[in-house]
Order: sequence, then structure tokens, then C-alpha cells
Amino acid sequence: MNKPLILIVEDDRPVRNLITLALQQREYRTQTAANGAAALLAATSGSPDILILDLGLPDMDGVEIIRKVRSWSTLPIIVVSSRSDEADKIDALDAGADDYLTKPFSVDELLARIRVAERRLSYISETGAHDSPVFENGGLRVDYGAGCAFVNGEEVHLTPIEFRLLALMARNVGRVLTHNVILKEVWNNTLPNDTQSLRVYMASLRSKIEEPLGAKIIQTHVGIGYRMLRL
Amino acid sequence: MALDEPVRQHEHILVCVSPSPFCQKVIKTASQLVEMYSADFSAICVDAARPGRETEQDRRQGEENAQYAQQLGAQFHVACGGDVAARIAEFARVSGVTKIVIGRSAEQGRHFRRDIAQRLSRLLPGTEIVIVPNAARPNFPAPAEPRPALALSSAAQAAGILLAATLVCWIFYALRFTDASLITVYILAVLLVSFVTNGFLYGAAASILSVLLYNFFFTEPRFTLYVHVSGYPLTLVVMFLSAFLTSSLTSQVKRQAGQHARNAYRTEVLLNSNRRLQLAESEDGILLEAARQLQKLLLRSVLLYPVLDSGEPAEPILVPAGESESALRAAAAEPTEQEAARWVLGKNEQGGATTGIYGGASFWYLAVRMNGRPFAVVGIRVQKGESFDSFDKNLVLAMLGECGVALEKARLDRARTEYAVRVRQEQMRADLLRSISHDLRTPLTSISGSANMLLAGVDDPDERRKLYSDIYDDSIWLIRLVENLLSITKMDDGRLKLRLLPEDVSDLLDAAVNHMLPYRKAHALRREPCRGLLIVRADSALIVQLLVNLIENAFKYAGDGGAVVVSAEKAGTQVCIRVADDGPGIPDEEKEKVFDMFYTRKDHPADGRRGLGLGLALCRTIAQAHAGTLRVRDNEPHGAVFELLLPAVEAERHE
Repeated sequence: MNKPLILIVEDDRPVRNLITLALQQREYRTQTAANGAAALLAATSGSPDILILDLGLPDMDGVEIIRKVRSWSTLPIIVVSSRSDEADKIDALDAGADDYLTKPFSVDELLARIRVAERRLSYISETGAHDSPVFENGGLRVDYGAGCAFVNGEEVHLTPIEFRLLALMARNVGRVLTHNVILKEVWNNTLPNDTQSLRVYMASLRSKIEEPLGAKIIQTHVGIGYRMLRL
Repeated sequence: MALDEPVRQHEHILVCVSPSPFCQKVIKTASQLVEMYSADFSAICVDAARPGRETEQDRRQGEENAQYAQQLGAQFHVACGGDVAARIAEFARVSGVTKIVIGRSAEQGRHFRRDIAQRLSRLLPGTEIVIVPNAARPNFPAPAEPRPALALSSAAQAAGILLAATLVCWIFYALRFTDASLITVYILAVLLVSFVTNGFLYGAAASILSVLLYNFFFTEPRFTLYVHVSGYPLTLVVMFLSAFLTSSLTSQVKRQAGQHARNAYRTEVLLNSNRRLQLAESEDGILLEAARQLQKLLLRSVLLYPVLDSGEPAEPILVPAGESESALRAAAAEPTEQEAARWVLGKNEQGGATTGIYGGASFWYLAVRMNGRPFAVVGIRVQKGESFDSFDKNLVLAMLGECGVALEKARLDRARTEYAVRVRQEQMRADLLRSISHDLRTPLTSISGSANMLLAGVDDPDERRKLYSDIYDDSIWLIRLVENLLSITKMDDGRLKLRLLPEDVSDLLDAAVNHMLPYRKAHALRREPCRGLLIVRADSALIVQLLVNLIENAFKYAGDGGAVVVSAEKAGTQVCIRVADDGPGIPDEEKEKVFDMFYTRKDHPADGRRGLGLGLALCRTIAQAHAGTLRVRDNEPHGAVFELLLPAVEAERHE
């Protein structure tokens, strides 16, 4: 398979050059845009595989761009933000971005995120448009229909909430899911008090899955949310 | 004198208010002085309490004058007691008054007497006394001397007593008692008359009558007003004087007794409310307490409209008396009432029931002032047709005066605290800027210098590599500095704005450790797994930053080859997070100092210059903002352990 085409949207020239250079050295194909209008044009005409989007564009709200792109495409979107606009980052993830990078970031971090996005791409192309009834990830198997999960062939006993949590993470493997999204999908509400329940269930789900699996499969993004990694 | 001119003291001007129309001129003069000196302004009215001698007109005029003084921004006080000069002097001494403005009027008895000014200047030698002469004699008709009507019952009582005395004397005379006994009986009669009747007149009349009666009936020749025996006229004069003095003393004692009862009551009420007002915590508390006190005192419902910053009245606080809260709310909601309250607030005057403006309202409205600005409007329930005693009115004014003083004190206290906080913040900000500009210059010099050399071309590959890694290290250090600065900008008003959420401690430790991964020393960092689920309420970004600061600090003091261990465990009701190093440790005398802002240790180990002393001070601030503690102790066998204690949250499951 060809190396994916990555669209880099960043208004700051040195950072744009740095990202482009780093990706080209790893033989990714790149395309650049310096503002929102150019980004939307490139996203429609160039059909990129992955989008790296800076949230602080001069002409357009980054979250708006994500909404527009999401209206026709499921391509992985990695947003780049500076620390001061943490709230923007969460808005962007809620709007459908897959992942985020906080400035200043290292080249290694950037490449790691691109690799996660690539795995998500391959997962989407494998399963296709329709949801597969069974999800497999390393030694983990989730049977959506039967409502049960297996690690290395052995069934794991999960409470209903734990299973809903696991299924949600599995369906969105490779994506960072914000606390808002998880609370809404699993508990059907967003009472702030339930963040604590979320912590408790996540801790117990992890111990049930990760210990027999012998690998960290669920990543915590402190202050943001969780992500299941594609092993 | 120009050399050692005394520091100009702050002026406090006191105006004496009397129930005279002329007094308004005195008040106006005082207010002009106040403006000139930008002084504090107080007004005092001495309630000499002469029952029966105060006419309705006097009362109204007195109230009008008091109101006028308040309009001009005076803090109004009422003092009680017969000796006007002494009361004024007492108040002036206690309140630190520097100037007293007093009116002089030719009309004796109705105003402050001429000698009050002289007595005041004797009592208060250090205080300037300004006398406003009554140049233009007011041509208002001098009101008739308040003369108690000769009430029929009192006259009959007096006549009865004198008649009885004469009868007794007749018997004594028949029994050949001495003259002295007879005179004593008459004096007793005069005393009785003064006691049972009101006013001085009856006593005086009785004194004269008793002398005449004695003379007529019992001195030779009897049944005439003539006297034969030499020396008798003298006896009669002495008898008259004794009777007269007795009667005047009795009526004075009676008057004073009444006055004392009122004084005692008023003093007790004011003292009590003053104490309660002092106890009230906030300005709203003071207002509420004042409303409650008024209700208790007057047994009338009280409304209180606090004034918003916009100058609009807020929803009223209701303190009902003898009616339900809903009835009171309904009464207060009448459009006239709202209008009257608004008017009082806007004009800073009295209004509503018992006054000329909005007289149809069912509340009497007054503004609570603080430095002339209305702070609240108080409404006191007055039923239709009901009058409001001027004693009570003065009491209300005095209480609102107390309330104003308490509010002023609360406001000053708050301003003082705010000022102190601001000064501290400014100091911190200045120190911070100084320290930052110094700390920024060093790595920036290194980065730009290294980059410049690389651009010019460096042949030796090892040298080149060293320059590259210097640029990298310095930029990383700048990143850390910027992150700390961002946290400091969160510290607005001396408080951190926290986004507290229940967080898994294990996640926080992972995030901090991951943050350290790009560092060259990261391999010497060990993270011990947590036992069990530990949850704390935390602003994750700040706690991660605190931990990163602690880890960096540990590496700095552990020196080359040192190892750092991060761990967490439950300690009672708290979670204890530890960052331990195996360096030389921190001497006891420096253990507390390391948390001081801008403190850097003198013996910089390892990588010398890097000392933004800010790090640990910021860590402690963050810990305290989370209701936690940050402390340092010795590690075994050597090194330092920084411990962060945060309140633990019980892990619950909501299915």
C-alpha cells in the first residue's frame, strides 16, 4: 500500500516546514495549506488520507473546518493546539477530530500520532462501511451482538456499563474520546459528578482487560479523555 | 514656621442641630466648611426632653433640620440629657471632632443658649468653635410660650389638697400646735401638689396660695391678710421660698425620671444594635441585622432594599411584624411603594408615610447612607392614619447612623485587605518579571549563538553535535519556563482558577512521567505502580505540572547518575504522592526555604545556572489551592523526598 497523503494546515511557516520535512523524511506524501479556505479547497480536491490541522488559523475557526470536513469524510484528523486553548482542543475532539498534539511537540510525538492514524485508516478500510458484528484487536475480541468480550479466547466478565464502555472504545479504536462523549454515550447524560464513576469503571475495566492481555490497550489523556489503541 | 508646619490633620466638623428654622442656615454654613476642608461631617441633636414644652411645630422643625443635615451628607447623631453643652462636648471628644459649628440666637430658651458656645470652648479648649450669628432676625411669629393649659382636673386636685391642708391646720391650731407645725403641713401640701400635677405652674401657684391661706386663717389678726407680730413677714417669706423650692425640685425630679427611663432604653437599644452590627460579617449581614433590630424595636414590619452596583434597588428583604410575610410582600409590591422607595433612593431624602412626599404610602422610607451615597433604602410600616413618635423617629435615625458607621467600617476593612493583597501581588509580579527577564536571556543567548555558529559552518562533527544538543536542551528549558508562566497567569487575584475533576492518581503520575520522556535523563526515572484505585479531585494540568516540576527538581539535585522514584499510596484520608531522589539531600535549615519564591540554593549542583526559584513556590501554591500540602523530608540512606498530600475521594460506583 502506498504511503498516505497528509494535508498539513498550519499558518506559521517554520512549523509548517518542520512538519513537512519530518514527514517527507519518513517518505509520507504531503500537501500544505496556510489558511482555512485553502485547507477546505485542498481537502475536497486533493482527497488527503490524514489531516493535520492547526486550531489557531487566522481566517477560520478550526472547529468549523472539522465540522465541514466531517460532513463528507471520515479521514483521521489530528488537531494541533497551543496549551492556552485547551478548551478549543476538547471542542475539536467533540466535533469529530481523532487526535490532538499540543505545541510545543517533538517530531517523535508527531510521527507516533501519524502511525496511530494510519492504523485507524487500515481498520476502516478492513471493516468497510458497515459495522462488523465482532471486533478484534490483538488478543481482545468484542462480540457486539452477544454482548461479551474475550481476552486470548477466555471470556471476561463485565458489568453492563463496563461492556458499553468497552464497546464504545472499540468502535472508535484509535480515536481520542472526550469525557463528554463517553458520558453521553454510556450514561446518557453529562452530569459532572459522573466523571468520578467514569474513573472507577475505567480502572476496573482496565484491570479486567489489560492484566490478562499483558498490554496497555487503553490510553488516558489527562484532562481530555481516553483512547483504545490499535495493537 | 514654614519649616516645621504641622501635618494638616484631617478635619471633622460637627454641627449642632436645634429645632429652629434659623438652624438650617447654621447647617448650610457647616456644610460649606466641610466642602472647604473636605472634612468629615456629623450633625448632633441634643434631645433635652422637656415634656410638654416641645410643641408640634418644634418637633416638625427639628425633624426637618435633621433631614436637611443628612441631605448635606452629615452623619446624624442624637444625644440625650439636659446639659446640652456637656453632651456635645462628650460626643466631640469621642469622635475626634476638630470644629464645632453652632448657631447663636437672641431667643433664650428656644435655642442653644448663648452661653453654650462659651461652655463648649471651656470644655474643649483644643476645638475650634464657629458661631453663626442670627443676623437676619427671622420674622416668623414667635410661638406662644408653651403653656400647659390649666387642666381642670389638676387645678381641682391642687385646690383639694390645699383645702385638706387648711382643715388639718385648723385642727392643729385648735389643739394649740406651734406655727412651725402648721407651716410644715402647708409645705407638705405644696409638695403633694407638685407631685400629682404636671408642670411647674401648679407648684408655684400652690406655694403662693399656701402662704396666703396661712396668713389669712392662722396669723393674728385672723381672717385678714394683715400681720401684727413683728418677724412674721419674714416667716412668710421663708415659708414661700421653702414651698416654692420644694415644688420646683419635685417637678424637676419627675421630669428627669421620665427622661432617664427614655435615655436608658435608647442607650440600651443602640448599644445592643451596635454590638450586633459589629458582629455582622458582611455588608449584607449588617443591613439585615439593622432591619431586624428596627423591627424588634418598633414592632413594625421593615422592608430593606439593598442597592445594586448599578444604583438600582434590588429585591427587598422582608422582616414582618404582626403580619404574614406574604401580606408584607404584597404591600411592598404596590406601585406607589416602589416609586416612593426609588424616589428616596434617587433624592437621598426621607419619603413615604408621615412625610410630605408620597404621604399616601404605607411605609416610611429612609436611605442608609455611607459617605453621602445611599447604600440601602429602609421602609418602616406605618398604618394609615397612625402617627410616628418623634422619639422613635430620632431613634431610627440614630440606628441608621450606626448602621452607616458599621458599613463604612466593613467597607474600609475590605478595602484594606484588598489593598494588601494587591500590594503583595504587585510585589510578586515585579519580582517575577525581573527574574524571568534574567532567566530568559541566558538560554536565548546560548540558542542564538549556537545556531549562528552552525550557520557559519563548524567542521568538527562532535562540536556540531554538541551545539545541536545545546540548542535542544535550552529550548526545552524555555518550554518548561513558559508552562510555569502559563500557570502563573491562571493565578488571578491571588487564587488559582481550578477546574477540579475526580482524577485517577495513576493517570496523573503516568502523564508526568511521559512528560519527562524527551529528556536525556529520563532513563533514571522510575515509576512504582499504585496499589488500588486512588482518586483525588484535581485540576489535572496543574497537578501534572507540579509533579513535572518536582521530578525536574529531583534530577537537578540528585546530580549526574542520580535516580528518581515516583510513587503514590493511600495515607489515611489522604493520598500521598512521593518524588524521591538519592542525591545529597537538603539540609534541615533549608527545608522550608526551598519553597520560597525566587529561592535558589547557593551551592548549585549539576547544571549550574538553571534556577527559576519559582518552581517549588509554584508547586506549593498549586498544592494549597487543592487543599493539599507539599513538604520535604530526608530519604534513606540519603537524598530528599518531596511529598504531596491531597484529600482522597472515595471511589464509588454509580450503576
